[in-house]
Amino acid sequence: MLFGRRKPGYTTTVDAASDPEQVILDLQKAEMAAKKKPKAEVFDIDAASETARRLKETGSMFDGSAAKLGEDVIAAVQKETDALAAKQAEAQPALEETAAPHAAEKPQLLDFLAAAPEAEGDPYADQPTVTAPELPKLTPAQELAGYIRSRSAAALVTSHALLVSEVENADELLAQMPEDPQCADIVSRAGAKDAYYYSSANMSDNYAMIAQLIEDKDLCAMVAEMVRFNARVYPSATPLRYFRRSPYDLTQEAIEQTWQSMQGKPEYADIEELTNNQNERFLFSTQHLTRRYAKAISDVDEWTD
Amino acid sequence: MAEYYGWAGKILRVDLTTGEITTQDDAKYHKYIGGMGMAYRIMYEEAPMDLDPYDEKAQVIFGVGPLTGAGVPCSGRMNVTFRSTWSKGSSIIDAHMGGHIGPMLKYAGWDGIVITGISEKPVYLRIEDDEVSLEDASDIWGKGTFASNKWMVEQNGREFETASIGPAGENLVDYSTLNTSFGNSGGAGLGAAMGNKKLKGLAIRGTGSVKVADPKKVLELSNYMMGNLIGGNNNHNVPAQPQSWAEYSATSGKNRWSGAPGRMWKKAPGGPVDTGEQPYNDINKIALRCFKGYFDFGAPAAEYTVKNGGCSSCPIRCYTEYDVDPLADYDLPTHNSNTCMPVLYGTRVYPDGVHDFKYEGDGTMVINLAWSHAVDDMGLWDNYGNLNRDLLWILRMPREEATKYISEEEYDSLPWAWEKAGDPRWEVELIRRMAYGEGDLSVIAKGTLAMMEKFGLPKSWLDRTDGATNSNLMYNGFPNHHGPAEAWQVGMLYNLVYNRDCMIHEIVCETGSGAPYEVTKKVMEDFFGEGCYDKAKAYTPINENKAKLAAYCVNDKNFHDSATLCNWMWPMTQSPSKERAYHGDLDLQADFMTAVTGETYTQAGLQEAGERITQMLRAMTAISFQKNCGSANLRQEHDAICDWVFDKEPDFKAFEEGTTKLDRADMEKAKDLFYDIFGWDKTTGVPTRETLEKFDLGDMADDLEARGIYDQTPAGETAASEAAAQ
Repeated sequence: MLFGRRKPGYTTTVDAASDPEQVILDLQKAEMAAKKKPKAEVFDIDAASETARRLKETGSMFDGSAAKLGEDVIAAVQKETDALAAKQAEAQPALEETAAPHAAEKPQLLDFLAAAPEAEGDPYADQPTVTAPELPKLTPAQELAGYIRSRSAAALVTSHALLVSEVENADELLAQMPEDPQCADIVSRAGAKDAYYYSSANMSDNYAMIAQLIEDKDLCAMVAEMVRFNARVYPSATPLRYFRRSPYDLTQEAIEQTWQSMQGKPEYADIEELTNNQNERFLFSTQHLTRRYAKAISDVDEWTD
Repeated sequence: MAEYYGWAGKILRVDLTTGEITTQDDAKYHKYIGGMGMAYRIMYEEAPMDLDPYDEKAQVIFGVGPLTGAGVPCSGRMNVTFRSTWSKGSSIIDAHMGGHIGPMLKYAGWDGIVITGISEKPVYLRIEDDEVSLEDASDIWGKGTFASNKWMVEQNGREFETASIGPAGENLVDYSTLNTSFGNSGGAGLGAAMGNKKLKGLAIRGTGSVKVADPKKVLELSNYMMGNLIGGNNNHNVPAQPQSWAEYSATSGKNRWSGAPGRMWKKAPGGPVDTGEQPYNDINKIALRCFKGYFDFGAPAAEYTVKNGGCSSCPIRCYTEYDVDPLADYDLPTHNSNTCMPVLYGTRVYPDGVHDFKYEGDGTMVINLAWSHAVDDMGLWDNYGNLNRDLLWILRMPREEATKYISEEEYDSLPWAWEKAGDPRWEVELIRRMAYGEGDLSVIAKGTLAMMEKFGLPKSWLDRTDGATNSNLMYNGFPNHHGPAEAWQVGMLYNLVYNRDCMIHEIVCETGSGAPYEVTKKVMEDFFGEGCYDKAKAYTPINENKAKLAAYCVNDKNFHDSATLCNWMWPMTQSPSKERAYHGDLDLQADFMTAVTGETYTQAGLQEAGERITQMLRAMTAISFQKNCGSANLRQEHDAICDWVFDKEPDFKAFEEGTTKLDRADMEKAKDLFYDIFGWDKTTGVPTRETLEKFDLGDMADDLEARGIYDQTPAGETAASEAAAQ
C-alpha cells in the first residue's frame, strides 16, 4: 500500500446524523477546554485558526464575512450549516444513483481500507486512539467570550456598543471575565469613542490596535498613529499605498483626502511626506526618523533575487 | 555495496569518450557530506585545476546528499560542480538546481554522477535505478529545453524526471543552463560544460527510497519545524501585510510571505483562490504564504496566476505558475513558471521602457515572463543580471556610440521598432542571438570579462557607480548577489570566497523579512554575538562577531549545497512565533542529519564539515589563479573590491546613517579578521599548511607547496621589504 494505513483518530470525522449547530457548539467547547495548551513548545494548531478550520470541516462556508458586515456570527454559521445540510440531503440520492452502476466493481473506501493488511513496520501502529475530552458546561461569560473569540478569528475587534446591544447583561458578564481563567485571553482596548474586545489567543495586540483605529473611523488619527508606529518600531517610512491594503482597504482618493486634511494641523506636524527614487510617496514621523534617513531607507536599491 | 542511512552509498561514473559506465562505493566521501563537498574532493583528486575547462578529462559532477529525498523539508536540491569558463581564474564553480530531479537521482540509488570525456555524437544519460545507458540525442540536438524535455519524457515515460540544455549550451555560450520543464535551472555555464561533452540532458527514474535511520524522529522534527519555525520564502518571519494573528508585518508590503487577504490566484482552476491569512502554526496553509508573483510584480500578478508550484519536499512553493494570455498576441507561449532572476530583469533590455498590456501596471510582468520562458527554452543564464546590465549599457547608447562596439550592420539589424513599442519579441530576438552566438553583441553572453576584453574596456569600467549597468563587487566577472547593501561588511566578506556570485542567503533572509530591527537584532545577537547585526543603511565598523558571522554563512551554505538543503530557507535562524521571541533553531539541521543518517551530528560539526569544503575551494582557487592569472595571491588577485563599493553616494560618508557604502581601511581590517578565522595567510589569503592539515587536507598543502604557492610574496610587499632593507 502506497502510504500505509491511517489509524483511527488520525482525522476528525463528523457524524452526518448529528445536528450541525450542536457539532459547532461542541467543537467550540472542545476548543475552549483545550485552549490552555502551550503554543510553541510542541506542534499545536492555534486555537483561533482551529475554530475556523473546524467550522470549515463541517462544510460551512464560514469565512468571517458575516462578522465583517456586523452580522451575528453564530447565527450566520447556523444559517450556513443548515443550508449545507439541506443541500447535502438533496444531493445524497443523486449521488447514490450515480454511484450505483459501479458499486459492484468498486468497493467502498472504508471497506477497502478495513480489508487491507496492516502495514508492516508501521512506527505509529502503537499510538493510542485519541478520544475527545469531556466537554465542560460553559458559563454565560464564557459563551460571550467565545463570541468575542470567534470575531477575533475573523480579524475583528468587538465594540462594547455591539455587545451591550446584543446581550442584555453584557457589562455584568464582561466584569466576570477577568476573574475566570477560561476567559483570560479576552482583552479590552480603549478606542477614541468606545472600548473594544478581542481574544489575544486569536489576535495580536498590534493588529488589535490597527483594528481599533479602523473602528474609530478617524482616518487622520489612524494614518498618523500608524505612520508613527512604523517609524518608531521597524523603523520605516510608510508608503501611502500601505493604507490601500488589507485591513485598511482605503481608496487612493480617501488616502489623498486624509493626508491633505492632516496637513497644517498642529497635532500632525510631525508627519511629513517624501518621494523615493522610484517615485513612490511615503509618510514618516519626524519624532522618530530624520528626513535624510527616512528617504534613504525608502529608496529601492539595485537588487537581485 | 554497503548500505547506509541517508546516503545511497554509490556514485555513477560515466565516460562519454569510451561509453563506459561504472559504479563506485562512495563511503570515503561521506566526511565531505555529499553534493558540493564530495564533488570538490573528487575533482581535486581526478581533474586538477591545470586542465582546460573544456579538456576531455574535465568533469561535470552532479551531486546530492544524505538529506536529499529523505523527507526533510526544503531538501529537494541538486549541486553540479564543474569549471568556470567565464569568471576570472577559470576555477571550480557550482550550479544549483531545485525541482524534483535531485531527489529522483537519490531514489534511483545514486549520490552523484561523475561525467568525464566527450561523446562523438549527442547523447543523453538515461538512468532507471541501476539500469544506466547513454542514448542517442540527435533528434533533440538543436532544440529548446522545453521540446527536449518533452521528447525525453515521451521516449521514456511520464515517471522520468528530465533536464536538458538548450541551444546556448550546445553552442558553448558561457552563460548557459541546464533546465527542467518547470523552470528549475542550474546556471553558471553548466549548459556549455555539458554541451562541450555533447551531453544534451538527463532522464532519471528511481523506484527506490532513501533509508532513514529514525523516521519517527524525522517526522517529529518536521512537525516541530512546520508548526514553530518555518516562515515564508527566504524564511521571512512576518507577513507582507497585516494579518490578525501577527504582531508585525513588512511596512513596505513587500516580502516573500506575500500571500494575504485579497491577494488572489485569479486563474486558479475552479475559480479564484484568496490566499487569505496564514497563521504561522497552521501547517495546512503554509503553501499559501509565498505568493512569489505578488512579491515580484505586485497586484497584476493576481490577474495571471494559476497557482504556486515548487520543489520536492518543500511546502513553500516559490514558483508561481502563470497564464500570461497577452503573450499569445505575439505568438509567444503564455504558460510560464519561474522564480528568481529570470522573471526580474527582462525589462532591462528596453531602454525606452515598457507599456501595460491588459491590466494597469502589468507591463513589467508580461515582459519579464516572456524573458523567463525564452531564456529557459534557449538554456541561457543571466549571471544574476549581468547579461541584462551589460546589454542595457550598450542598448541605451546612441547609434554612433554603440557602433564603436558592434558593427553598423548588426546595430541596424536589430528590430528596434519592437524595442520602441515595448514588444516582447524584442527580448526574445536578443535572447536568440545570445544563445546562438550571433554577432558582436553576443559576446555579452560569454561573460562580462570577455565583453570587456573584446570591447577594449579598462578594469576601471567595473568601478563605475551606475548601478543599473554595473553591480560587480569584485573584478572577477560576477555581480553583487546579496552583498554589502543587505549585509554590510558581512555581505562583502562572504562574496570574496567563491568563483561566481556567492549564493548565500543567510543574512538577506533576515534583513529582507521586514520584521522590526530590534526584534531581529536580538535573534541574531543571541546566536552570533553582540554587534553582529547592523541596522539598514546605518552600518558600524567591523568587529570580530561580524567576521565570525560571515564565516558561519560560508560554511553553512557549503553544507547546504552538500547535504542538500535549500539555502533560501535554511538555516532556521528566525521564527514567526512570538512565543519563541522570533528565535529559530540553528541546531535543527544537525538534528535532521542525525535522524536521517543515524550518526551524531552537531551544529559545530556541520560548521567543521562546511569549512572543510571552504578550505578545499580556497586551495583549488589558488591553484587555478596561479595557472590562469599568474599569481596565487588571492588577496590581491581574487579578493580585490571595486571602487564604487567605497565611493558611491558621495553625499554620505561610510558608517553615516543612510548609506550602504563601505570604508576601505575598515574592509581591509575585515579581511584580516576573516582570513584569521579561516586560517588563511593574511598577505596572500591562501590557507596555511596548518589549516589544511587541520581538515585532513595535508595533500592539498603538499600540492600548494610543490607549486610554490607558499613561497609567493606580493609584489608590493617585496618592493617595500627591499626598500626597507636598503
